[in-house]
Amino acid sequence: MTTLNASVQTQNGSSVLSATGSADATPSSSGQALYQQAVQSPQPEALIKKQFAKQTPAQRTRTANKFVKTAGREGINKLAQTPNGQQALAMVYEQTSGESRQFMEDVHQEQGATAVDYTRANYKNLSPRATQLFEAINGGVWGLGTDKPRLFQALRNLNPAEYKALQRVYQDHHPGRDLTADIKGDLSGNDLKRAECLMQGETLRADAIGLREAMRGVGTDEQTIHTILGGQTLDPNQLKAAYQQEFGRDLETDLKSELSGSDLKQAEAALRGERTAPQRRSPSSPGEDAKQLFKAMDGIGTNEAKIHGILQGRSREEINQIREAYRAQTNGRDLDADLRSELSGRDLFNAQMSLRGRATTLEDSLARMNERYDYERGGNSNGVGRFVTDTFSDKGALLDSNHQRANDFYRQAMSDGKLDQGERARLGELVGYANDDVGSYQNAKDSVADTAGTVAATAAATAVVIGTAGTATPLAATLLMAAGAGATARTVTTGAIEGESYGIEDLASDASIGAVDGLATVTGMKAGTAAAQNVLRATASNTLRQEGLQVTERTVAHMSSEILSGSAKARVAFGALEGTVDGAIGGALGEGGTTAFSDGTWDQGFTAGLQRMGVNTALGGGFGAFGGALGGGVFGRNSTHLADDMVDALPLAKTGGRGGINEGEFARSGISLKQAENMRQELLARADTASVQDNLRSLGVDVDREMIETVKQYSFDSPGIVFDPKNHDAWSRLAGGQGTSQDAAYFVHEMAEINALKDQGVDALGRDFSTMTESQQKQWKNSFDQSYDVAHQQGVKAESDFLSHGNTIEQDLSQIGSTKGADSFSIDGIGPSERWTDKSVFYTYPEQTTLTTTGIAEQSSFLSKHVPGLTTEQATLILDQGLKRNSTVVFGGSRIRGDFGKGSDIDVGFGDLSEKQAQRIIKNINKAAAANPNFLNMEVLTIVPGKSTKTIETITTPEQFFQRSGTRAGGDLKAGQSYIPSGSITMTPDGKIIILPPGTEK
Amino acid sequence: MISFIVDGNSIDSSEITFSQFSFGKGEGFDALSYEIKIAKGDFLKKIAPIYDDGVEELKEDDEVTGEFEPPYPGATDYPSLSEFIDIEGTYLYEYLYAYHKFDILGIALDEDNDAANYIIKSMNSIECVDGDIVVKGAAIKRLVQTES
Repeated sequence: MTTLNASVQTQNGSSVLSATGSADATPSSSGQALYQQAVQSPQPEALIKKQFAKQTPAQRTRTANKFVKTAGREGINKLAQTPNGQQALAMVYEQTSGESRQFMEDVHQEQGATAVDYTRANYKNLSPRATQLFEAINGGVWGLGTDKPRLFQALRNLNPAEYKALQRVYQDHHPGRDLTADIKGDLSGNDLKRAECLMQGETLRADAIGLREAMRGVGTDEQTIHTILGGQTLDPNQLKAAYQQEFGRDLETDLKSELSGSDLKQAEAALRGERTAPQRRSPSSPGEDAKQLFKAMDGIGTNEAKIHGILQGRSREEINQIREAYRAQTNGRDLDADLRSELSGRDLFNAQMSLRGRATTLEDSLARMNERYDYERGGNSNGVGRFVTDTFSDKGALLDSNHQRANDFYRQAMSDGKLDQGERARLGELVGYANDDVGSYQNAKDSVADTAGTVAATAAATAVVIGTAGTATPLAATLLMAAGAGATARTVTTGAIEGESYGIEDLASDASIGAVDGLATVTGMKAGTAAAQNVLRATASNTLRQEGLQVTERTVAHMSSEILSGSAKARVAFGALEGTVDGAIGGALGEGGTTAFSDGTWDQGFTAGLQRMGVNTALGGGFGAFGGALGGGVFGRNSTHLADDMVDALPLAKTGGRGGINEGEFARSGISLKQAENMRQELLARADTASVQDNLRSLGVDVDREMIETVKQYSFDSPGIVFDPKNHDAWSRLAGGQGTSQDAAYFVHEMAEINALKDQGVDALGRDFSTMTESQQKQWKNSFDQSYDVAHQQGVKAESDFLSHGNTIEQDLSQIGSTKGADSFSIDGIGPSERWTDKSVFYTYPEQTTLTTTGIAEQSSFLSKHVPGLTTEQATLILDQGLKRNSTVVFGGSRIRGDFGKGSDIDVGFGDLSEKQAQRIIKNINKAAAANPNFLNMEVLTIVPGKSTKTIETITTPEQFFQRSGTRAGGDLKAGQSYIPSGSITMTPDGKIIILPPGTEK
Repeated sequence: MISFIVDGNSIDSSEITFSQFSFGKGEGFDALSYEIKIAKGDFLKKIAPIYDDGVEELKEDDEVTGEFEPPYPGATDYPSLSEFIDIEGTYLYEYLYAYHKFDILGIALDEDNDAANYIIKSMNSIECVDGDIVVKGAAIKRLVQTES
């Protein structure tokens, strides 16, 4: 009995250790103590984070609940008074449950106008509103006036607490700005009164004021009336009453006196409560979606909006179902391939993003944010757009700032290896800001491109007309050339600004618009008959140029207010037109156009050139016009030379020319080509691979010197890509030990690009290029060019992954299925065959590997592929049980090592669960297994931190447990036999898959 | 008072053991029936505190998941162990098997006893019979280890 008692004590001790032993470490009063410390600390959020980091999810919940009970209303309100306290409350709120959670939400509601949204319940709705307000207040791209309809729309239907939260989001998103102050600074009179009503939640009164304002004075603002009546969600009688109370007037009578016809009918119907039901996407099936997608791509033209409408926001599972249905309905056609053939530019990019399914993890959202950023603003192809857009708009700077904030926050938050709930909430906010900013930046870029394109087309055609005036050029040829010049100028201008986001459809559309602009210019539709006649009378170059400038000014004057609505925009237009005339003439005569403005050249050379080269000359004029438009628009008058430089630097103007020097970039920095070449030679002569290696290591990139030298050669001495000052600067910082994470990201990008080129059979360095024959060089360049886009995408992705995952280079899930050479792996002289079999996951992944997925679906899919006998369904069930408790789920044992038997169970550990939680999961899984012959039984030993038995030393982590080796003992059926490590596969709640072969440590 | 029967024969507690590591395993070995009988009073005295701790942990898990898994149909809360014993059906067994099988075996047996002849393979039932708690299942006779 003594033995029995001892045994009981042991068992009791074991059980108590995991049950109340944990409680000893986190006594029930820890939440109370934590609150008392937090409320007196200037950094309560740091205290809470530190405490939560030590605890299991269950312990955190218990601590948080006790914290709330101790704090009460008074304590919560006290903490809510400081930003750090608000962050602390957000962290606590995320961990609370049941009554405590409800209590925090109640206190949040009770705070009314002083509420601090630590629950962040309204964030998702408020962030787009804050962006909308910022743009409305700042007058859109051109910074002119206030977009009142947009402003009022963004303020509608908020209660005071929500407005308070909106203020916080607005200020957070646009540091230094205050929403209320901005609104008061932009509005006055009844507009301000209306806005203040909306801020206080008095929507009805605000609508009444808005309606009265729309009907006051001369003319009627029908659009505002319909917007208010259409957006009215309360009883129309209440609106009529509010109008009567505010103004002592009858709304219906006023509407009848101001409106007529269909406007009046529509308003009266709205007041009767008869509003058109909002268009909603009706519930659809994958089959119907597939059918509609096919229809959207069938025949001439593509319905891009319909495609996006169907694909956007769908889950990965839904997308896969649509893919399958599409395949079935179209005799095996591939949806992805069809979309690639039908779409291009931004449409294709957005469709491809949608095809990945909506993001299911924050990390994925962050990675996608980085991809969007890079697509719209990153890389050389966006250089012109970035430069020009930034000249007129601060949207790019705001995007840069918030993009950087999100990535910086992620890296900082991940310094302890994981994100807590408060950090996840904050990261979600920052990613949301940056995503909103991408949309704003797109609009700004589109608007700038459209304006520059329009003026370039018009002026290019004007220049052609000027050039042919007084010559024997037939009118038909003039029209043709003007159309060609207009089309070319618009497409090249718009395309250069839009960069990667410019698609084939955009090009076709812009060519048509540009051609019409060009023709319209000739026929006087745009420039005016008198102006055209003046153009046609011009004969000599100097006279011609003067005449041209006058014409362009008159052209601007005749342009509709729709195009030119303010001084800033007019500045672009005038500048662009001036530059365009110069550029078009210079372009038409050939680059440089050194004698373009001498009478003799003009009278003979241009006319003769036009007649000789026909439309091609006009196309040259179009290119010149583009450079002139940009140069003139951006830099003002006398900018032809700079514009020429920019034309030279443009990828679109230099087709296929990735070698050499990025002249535009250097020119912008005031560096001559000769100086640039000297810089390149000097950099190549430096023996700096060791210092670069050291700096890269400190930034989380551990590569050998051979790779560093390869990247150096590729970046600065290969015939494939241009020598870029940004790369030069990044390399120099790395060599000087002052590299930034962005510099490391540059290196990761280039490294991935080189590897991707290699995978396609291309020698990225072009080592033998100088000794190749001309034909061989051409062949190499073609090969490089064809492979470069894919390689570049890989580079962008690697860079994005690096930035979003901080200081680790990780493989992408797309690499799953690729088999690495197992023979390259060796630890301590022991080959892989002694550590695992060919059925093991390690046969494919012989080295420690981290994969990133979109979440549980991909994780389950991976497990079903790499854990013999485990179905996707069971993997999903197991993962769901662990991940919903915010724990890692770790698979090990013989099914991971590959030496399993017929009846082998599946060994699963949990990195963040208590023994009881693990037992509950095992119970549920084995219950499911009993009912499903395709399920594996789950090992009943609980593999969780803290677990121990007489023969099992205390488990620190499941991964560590699966790395153990030794001799079986005690009551083990195989006592006396040795056992070896199995290695493990860890699934994390944030979507990662960590593969640890035997012999590695986590 | 605890008694042990394996394959119809009474044995001493030192002759039988269990190992959490190999519980549920042993395919291919001949399985023998076993029966452990523990006085209900002793059983409640030993297990009740462990049971109560376990319930607290499960409640915490319920808070984490926001779900409540009733230990028997219609349950709105976790019963006390003495209440649970009076619930008809196999629910008590299912609950104890899931959460306390090793605790129960630990009351009666020395875990990982190198010298034992029998090793518990499974636990198939836990019943209250005539004032005793009776645990039944299958055991495996340990092979004699020979040194080579």
